[in-house]
Amino acid sequence: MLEKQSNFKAWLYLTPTLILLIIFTFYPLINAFYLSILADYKIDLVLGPQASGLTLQNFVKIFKNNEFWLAMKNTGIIVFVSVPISVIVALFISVALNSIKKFQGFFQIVFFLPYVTNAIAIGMAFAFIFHSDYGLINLVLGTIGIDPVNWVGTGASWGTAMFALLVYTVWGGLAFKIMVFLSGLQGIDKQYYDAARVDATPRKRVFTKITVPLLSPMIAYITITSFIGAIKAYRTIIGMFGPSLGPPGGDRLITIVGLVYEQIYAGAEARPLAAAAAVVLFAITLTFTGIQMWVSKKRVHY
Amino acid sequence: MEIKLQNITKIFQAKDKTETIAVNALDITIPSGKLIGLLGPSGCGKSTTLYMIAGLLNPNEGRIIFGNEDVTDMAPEERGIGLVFQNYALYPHMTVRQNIMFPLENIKVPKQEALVRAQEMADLVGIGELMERKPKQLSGGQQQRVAIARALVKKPRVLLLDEPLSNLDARLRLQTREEIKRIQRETGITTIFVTHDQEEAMSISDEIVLMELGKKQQVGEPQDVYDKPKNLFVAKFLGTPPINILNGEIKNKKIHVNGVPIATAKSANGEVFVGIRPEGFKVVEKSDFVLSAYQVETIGRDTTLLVKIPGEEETYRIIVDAQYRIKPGNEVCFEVDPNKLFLFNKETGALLN
Repeated sequence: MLEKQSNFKAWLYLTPTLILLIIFTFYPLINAFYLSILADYKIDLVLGPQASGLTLQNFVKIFKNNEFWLAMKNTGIIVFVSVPISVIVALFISVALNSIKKFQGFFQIVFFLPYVTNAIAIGMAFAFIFHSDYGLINLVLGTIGIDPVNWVGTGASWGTAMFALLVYTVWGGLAFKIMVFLSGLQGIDKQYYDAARVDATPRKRVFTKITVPLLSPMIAYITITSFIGAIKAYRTIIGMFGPSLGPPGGDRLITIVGLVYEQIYAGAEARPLAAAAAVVLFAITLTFTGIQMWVSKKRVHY
Repeated sequence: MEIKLQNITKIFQAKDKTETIAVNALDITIPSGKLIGLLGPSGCGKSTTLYMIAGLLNPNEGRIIFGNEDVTDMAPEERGIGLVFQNYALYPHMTVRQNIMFPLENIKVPKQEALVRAQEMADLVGIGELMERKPKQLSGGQQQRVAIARALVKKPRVLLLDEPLSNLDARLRLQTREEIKRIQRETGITTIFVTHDQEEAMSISDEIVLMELGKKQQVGEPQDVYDKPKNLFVAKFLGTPPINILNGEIKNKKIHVNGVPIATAKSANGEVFVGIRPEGFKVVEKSDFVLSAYQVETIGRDTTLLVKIPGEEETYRIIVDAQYRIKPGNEVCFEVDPNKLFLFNKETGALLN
């Protein structure tokens, strides 16, 4: 009796959150799955959304779509290049930050600024840094005698545009990672380092045998969330290239989320395709997260 | 190897530039192959002293000498010390074996030899069969032993232990202190340990160094320090229950407490602190020194009387033989054992006579 009552209260307190979750998370989620298997979807002006039945054809269509495979390639590169690089760079920067005494606060602010700055604004700034005529990169390259490169301008190649995008993505992701790593480092008992010092541990070994393992929960957390974030990459491309999702007149840097977004606005008939692409994205994310959780169970020391 | 601390001073500077003298002109000689307890209340500078010997802190003044070698400017890893931290600082992600082998791997001892030495050390401290466990799977006492094994495995010249027993429960503490004594005796290594627990220090140390406010108070074998405290601080710090300190006056070669003569004295007339160990009271048929026990604590082996003395605020403890069967409220006549009685200067706290 008592238990039942407290159960009721628990559900009561959960109700507001549950209602919001149902409306904005569960319903769209289920709806996307449902939409992805609807056949001949269209919106009738009188009768509303119509479908002739259930089918897997939407997935077949998506898999036959060249744009989808381009999006897969772009997303894959963003995930597998930008995430490892930014995690490693963030790790080194935070270890360096943690070991300095003077100006630590100042540098912490500097490295954290990107996190509180609008991604679109940063994207535009980066687009300008990579500008072929006035950009900082070409200016620097010019001083060492390299001709200006058309990074992101009209007709820029897929490679240079992707390079610029990766630089921006890595940089943009550093702030949060550094903050997490730094707080993790500050939580490591200083006595481990004193013990290592007394035992004549070389610096490289201190890093690989003590710092990294003790920071491994943070590293795992950051890696998993960054992977998920990178799989959903879209904002960065919009920020850098605008709605064309690529340099003007050049190859597109469209990602899966970008594709989903475009399909949604390509008319009612394309919506099941957008849903199918979203479901594929969901499956990929789930698989990767599962693998990472499995790996981190073996490699992470809590 | 003998360790000499010569005129060691350590000053810590806070952010607002206020200075704290943690260790003040400390001069100690630590004999070779002995177990030495650095003892004092918290904040007396004993841990600071230990870390200066380890090399993790640098003294502002003074020299530290190991044998004939001046190590003051040497880095910790060059000094040949083994250090056991208060909370052991075992690497949580490594097994016991990996933890013990870690110092050997650092100095590139061949793997096979390192394995053998780690096992030997683990056997010595009695954790030989726990080698594949992680520190978290061990009890506090076992972790302590792993930490000692890790400190000893590289064959240091000195073993330093920071509050080695403070994280253990009472029963383990007794066991572990015997264990530390045994390990020290078997290896013959000069060992210095820090503690705030006088019982712990006295029970296993060959010599104790008693410190207060960064200064050395007394050095010597535990029994000598207990029997001949140089000052009031030393007398009060050693012994459980603690020594009874009474206000007394010397008149005509007699010590008067609350107007009653309790013993003879050679010191000059004047006010003094009279220190009497709880076991320094002898129950007698008749004397002028009569106290009323308001509470009696029986533990079987002997009996502790809690007494009040008119004019004094404190409660005093007197240990008497269990045979007397004293009841609360009883008036008891006492004589004082002159060997258990100390007179201290009221201003300086120095021992008189």
